[in-house]
Amino acid sequence: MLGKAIHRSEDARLLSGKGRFVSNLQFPDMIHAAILRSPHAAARILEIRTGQARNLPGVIAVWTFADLKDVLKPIPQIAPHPSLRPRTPYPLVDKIVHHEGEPVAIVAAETYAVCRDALREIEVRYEPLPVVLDAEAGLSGSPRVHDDLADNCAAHFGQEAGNVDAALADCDCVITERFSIGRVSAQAMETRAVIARFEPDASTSRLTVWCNTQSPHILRSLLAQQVGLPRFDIRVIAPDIGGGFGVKNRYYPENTLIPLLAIRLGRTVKWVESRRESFLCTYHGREQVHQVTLGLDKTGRIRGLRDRILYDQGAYTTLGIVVPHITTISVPGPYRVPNYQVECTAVYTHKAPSVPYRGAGKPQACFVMERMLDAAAARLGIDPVEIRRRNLLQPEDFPYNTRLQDADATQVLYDSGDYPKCLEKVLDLIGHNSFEREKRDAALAGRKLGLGVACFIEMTGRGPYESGLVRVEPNGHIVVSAGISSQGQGQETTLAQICAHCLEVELGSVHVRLGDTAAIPLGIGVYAGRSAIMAGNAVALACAAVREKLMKAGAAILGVAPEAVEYTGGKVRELADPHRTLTLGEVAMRLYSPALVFPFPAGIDPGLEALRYYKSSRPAYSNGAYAVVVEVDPETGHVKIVRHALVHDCGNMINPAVVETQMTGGIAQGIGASLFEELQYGPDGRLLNASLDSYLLPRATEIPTLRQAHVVTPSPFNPLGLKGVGEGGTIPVAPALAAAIENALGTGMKLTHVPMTPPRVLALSLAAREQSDRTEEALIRS
Amino acid sequence: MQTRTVEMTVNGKTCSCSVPVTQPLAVVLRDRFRLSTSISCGEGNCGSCSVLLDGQPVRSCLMLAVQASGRAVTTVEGLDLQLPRLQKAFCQNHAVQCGFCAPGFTIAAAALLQNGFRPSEAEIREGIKGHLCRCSGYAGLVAAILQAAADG
Repeated sequence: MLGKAIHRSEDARLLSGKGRFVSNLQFPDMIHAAILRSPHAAARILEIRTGQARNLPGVIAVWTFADLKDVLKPIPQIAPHPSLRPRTPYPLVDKIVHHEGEPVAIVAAETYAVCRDALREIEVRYEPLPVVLDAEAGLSGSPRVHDDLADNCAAHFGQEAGNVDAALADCDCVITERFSIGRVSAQAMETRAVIARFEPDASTSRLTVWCNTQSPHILRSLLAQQVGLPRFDIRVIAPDIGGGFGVKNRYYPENTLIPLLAIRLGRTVKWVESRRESFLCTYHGREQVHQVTLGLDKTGRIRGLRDRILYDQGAYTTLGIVVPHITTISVPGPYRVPNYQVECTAVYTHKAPSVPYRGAGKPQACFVMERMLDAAAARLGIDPVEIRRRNLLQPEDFPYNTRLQDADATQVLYDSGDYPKCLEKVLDLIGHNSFEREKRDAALAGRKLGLGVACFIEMTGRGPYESGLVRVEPNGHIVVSAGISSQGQGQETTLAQICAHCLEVELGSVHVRLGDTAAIPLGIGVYAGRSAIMAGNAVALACAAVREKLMKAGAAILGVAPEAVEYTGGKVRELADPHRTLTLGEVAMRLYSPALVFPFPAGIDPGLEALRYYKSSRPAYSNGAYAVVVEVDPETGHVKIVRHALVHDCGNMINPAVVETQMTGGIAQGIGASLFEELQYGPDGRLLNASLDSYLLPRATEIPTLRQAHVVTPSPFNPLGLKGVGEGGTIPVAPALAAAIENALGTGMKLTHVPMTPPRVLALSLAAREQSDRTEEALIRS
Repeated sequence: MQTRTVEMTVNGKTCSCSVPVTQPLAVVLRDRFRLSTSISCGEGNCGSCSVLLDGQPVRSCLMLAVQASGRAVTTVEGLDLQLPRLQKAFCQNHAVQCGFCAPGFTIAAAALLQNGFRPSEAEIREGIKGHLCRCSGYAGLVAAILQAAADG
């Protein structure tokens, strides 16, 4: 069952149009909500007039901060850090707007159309304030995003391993570069949605919230604080989710506002984010600036690396410094960096908060390291693949202590891997050996081809814990739950595979129930490639406990000693008399039924289930290498991906098809962020491209089928030997594409900004042509 | 809110319903008929809301429900003959992850493969480029449609 590319059980409903997406759910007597948002990035609210809106037929409520000031609290700061000067929003703006799209008023009405009409009737008088729109400008401290802070510094932290100053002073080659990574939006196909229902007379949880959240239990805890209800009085259900990518983990203002409407109005309330809102108010990712110095010896071996990072925090510290901290410990990547010093300043700006978006700081780190190696290769006249070979960590280096500390002060330790093997294998897959000839032939036909390669690692499976519940039913079927929800990563199938493997049962007899705080008491959620490692191992622990009880209870029912039975093929079997067997269902029946029907086995507790928590403080490290061949149109700057290949190592694979589809999906997002996607702001801080026709996601004509291969080095850090896969694809794409584009145009390391859009590539192409014209001219004259 | 009575055939059944004149067809299909039509962008950029209108794919978010008067609308639920073949191909090729775009792609595939058309990979990519998928990178979808075409 493990290691098999089983077809997904989720597909039955998703391919019949029966997906249970919150945005599509309907309830009888349901009303709708819509939110009035600030059109200004920075403003003081002078006055709000809601009278006209309230009077519209069909309008049930119009609220501003003033209407809720007795109950509204700032959204709690999670992920604190000693260096953090945190600021979090209220669910409705009181007086000062800090980014475009902040909620200023909320309307509830019988229909969504009436909500929209009511929004138009609300009059708000704003006094626009000066804006800070990038981290470098924000450093000056003026204007200030938060008046009660001395400047715009949200956090400052760093660390050093070794002695970088000494190392750099003693190098044959020192290179300094500046890199910038643009701000992006996750753009899942399903926007955020919340439905809330409050039943004051219910005997179980009175407040039920349906939300497409990646962390139902965390949402419940925060919601309890926000609405003043105890946790046990709230149930959060996250059914099918149309894409998450990290940004659906956060606690948003609507998570408080919609339940408050339900509680106060006594109606079921539904809110669905519009596509435009998803650009403005679903939080953003990635924006960083790096000032890097790399020192190497003349053979291209790294001696020292220094990185100064500016992180565009946005207006609030929603998840503290988690993302930039990950960047700081990820820059060295798969390489031996004997001396490394990194400093990061997170800066407040008048933009939506920056939070983890698939990759969570690792794509930026990989871009920096890979680009610096390309720069060094060009400077030293070493082949870019060879310079990587010389610096990659070797199999005998593991477990590898980077001498760096994670944000929770644990040592950053790489568990296992064969980095050189992944590189060699991807070179083979992409046709590296024959590429020079391919490139020459293409040049003769007037086509500019280029090849680029990048190596990467991926920290996965962050703790602190995840829950797994396994219960055998009297009919012999098994129900599995975990403290996670699914956004399409196939966990219903992979967790069933683990259970079927551990309990030696048919896959079809295992039913996985996720995304419900009523199904399992505690949980954390889905992010950073943790479902398989954390929920998978928790389910495996629970299965082991169930298996042990099966044997003990089965022996007692058969009237023999516990050592006299074995459990194989889904049955408890008496060793001395193999015809005497009990199925799981038969054992469960005895353990569930009252003593009146069957005698209850002595010394055994009722029920055949186990709830287990897998605790981990040791992330597992996946790794890989990505190679891409591009064709660049020197007249337009258009980049076409001719072919691409990936070799990836995620340790043991539960379901290789699930792994591969996660990788292709990640690479697709990597391509989007590398060639097309960047949020653009006007000078007043308003988003210019808050729409899918101006913020471009890659389409089927842009991404050829990926050639994939795997290397398997199980992780010694968890019992199942798993490593995560969720984020990996996003990590290596930008630097590999940059190298490929430069290779096609015959330039050195010049592309230092992500995304590499046609205008930027065209500028490089024109500069390269000008350079080669000048060179030719000089040759002719001489 | 002005309403009008519209008579249309939805998945083979003729029905008469009173709809607000400004309401998009996608909203009526999703909320009134409780069908699989999803609204992802509401602006015609992503294809999630695609349905067949008299056999041709359209973006139902860009149509008013009143414009479907006298027309035949088909959603995934109404693709009787082609659906099993498409579902099998999508499932076997692990084409779908979150599934939110799946109804739109199913409609697109059904439209592309009608009349026994057997597109090449390039023609498939061209044929579905009006549909966005954020999860999959399209490889499984393309392989699935190729397989469905061969099976058909």
